[in-house]
Amino acid sequence: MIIDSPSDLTRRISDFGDASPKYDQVFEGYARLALQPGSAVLILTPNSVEFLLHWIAALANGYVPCAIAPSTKTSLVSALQRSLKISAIVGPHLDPTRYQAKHLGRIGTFNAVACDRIPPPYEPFDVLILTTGTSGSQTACVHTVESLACNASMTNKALNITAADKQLCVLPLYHSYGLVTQSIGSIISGCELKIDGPPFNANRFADLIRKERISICGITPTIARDLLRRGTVLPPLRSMSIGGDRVSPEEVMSLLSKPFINELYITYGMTEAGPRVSVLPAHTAPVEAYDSVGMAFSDVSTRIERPDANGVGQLLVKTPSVCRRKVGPNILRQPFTADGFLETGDLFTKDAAGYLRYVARKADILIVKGEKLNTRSIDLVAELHPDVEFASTKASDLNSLVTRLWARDDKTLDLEEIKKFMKSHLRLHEVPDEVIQQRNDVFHK
Amino acid sequence: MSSIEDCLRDILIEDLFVEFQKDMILPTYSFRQDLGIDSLGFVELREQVEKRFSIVISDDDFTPENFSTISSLTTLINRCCTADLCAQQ
Repeated sequence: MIIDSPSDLTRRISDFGDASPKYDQVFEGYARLALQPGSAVLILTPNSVEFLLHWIAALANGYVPCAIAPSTKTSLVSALQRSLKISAIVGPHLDPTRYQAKHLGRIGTFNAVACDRIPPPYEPFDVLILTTGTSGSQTACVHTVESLACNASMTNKALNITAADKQLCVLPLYHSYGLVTQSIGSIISGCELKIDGPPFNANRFADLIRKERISICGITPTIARDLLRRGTVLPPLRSMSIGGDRVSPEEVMSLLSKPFINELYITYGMTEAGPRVSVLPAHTAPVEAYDSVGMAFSDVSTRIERPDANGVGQLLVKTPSVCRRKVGPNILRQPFTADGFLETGDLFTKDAAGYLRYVARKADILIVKGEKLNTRSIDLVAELHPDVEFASTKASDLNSLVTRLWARDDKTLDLEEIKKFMKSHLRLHEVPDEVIQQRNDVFHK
Repeated sequence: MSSIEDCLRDILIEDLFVEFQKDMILPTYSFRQDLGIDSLGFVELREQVEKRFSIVISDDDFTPENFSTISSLTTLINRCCTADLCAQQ
């Protein structure tokens, strides 16, 4: 259904950029790459209809699309090329010499480079979605396009999204929420989709909803907080969904008090699950459930593994949209139980009614400024600096990241220079706000 | 090449680590489409522009239109600098 959708897709899906190329041209461009079926193609493009055309055309040619932020640095792309066995890279202004690539072609408005021929480790109609790994060793979930469509369908059903809706997507399409929940969800529901890109601006968001007659939108808690802080008044929306991080009961109440939100859905998910797992329809839920992420979708089973005296344990999920496997360096075992449940790594409680309440996340994963990051990856980058012996990164509060450094040979560290060094290797959301030198007699392990 | 445009190229390379040679960044290149700047990149670009040009970019001016290309951002910077000068007089 998704692969058959392009002619209909260009009628229902639009953005604010220049006209997109014809789908047939994009499809032919991928065919000219002449890769083996199951070859992975890394797509580094900004939010646009053209991105979706590329993603679908790669699939339709039997390749395995893998979307990534267009700002990704060459060093990470090269690492992914090796660790995920990427056969081709597509994006604006690519320089083939950076990837030891032999072929530079044009697909749509982007460049395409074909890398060394390697036996593809994937199957046609597989999809790679990157997860929060480390900067030097990014991991990914291998999904099938059917499993993603299945998850989008479950989400559409839970959120009552139909062909009568018009959806606004302001979230990155290289994340599972924007790609699966919003884009694939729109394709299979038959609704219209308007794609916008950064920078996010609350007034523009309100203008777009009014001018484009948007009925549904999905945002992150960071954007929701920004809208609340500014007191932004939006035109009436049939529904707003929020996912990607925790939303406090007070924030749920504040959002529900806004007359322009008719239905408010708080969702929980993770890339491995396809991604959505549960939903809280806050507009109909009891107040006592506002601190929860709702109940699992009707086709999804959950259980708490080895709960402690307070009922807290790892959330296990069995869903028809689970990934086939995880790939990448340092994947020592697949996150599945013997009876087919996905180990989420998140600590939860589950009450008698089935409401799931988040307690804590795996130790190395943090959400800072609304972005998920792996603190160990930041430490590893700091430790690449020749003067740094050891690094330890922690969140000092919700919006601030601090890296403590221990020097080699008791040197006095040039912290500005080290911060610049780290910035050149990390993605912007991973760059610490503060870098502090610790004396070597302060024990660090 | 105006000094503002030149300074913006420096910001793109030194602070946002855009992987282009300085003289290859055309004033008409789209920050999003051509240079791949993402949401946090735009926040960093705004902060660096405010710092280097000693101006304040209001939330209303932090739009995709003003932050579209070097040319459009240069126009915004000129407007903010003029407004500051008028305010000082």
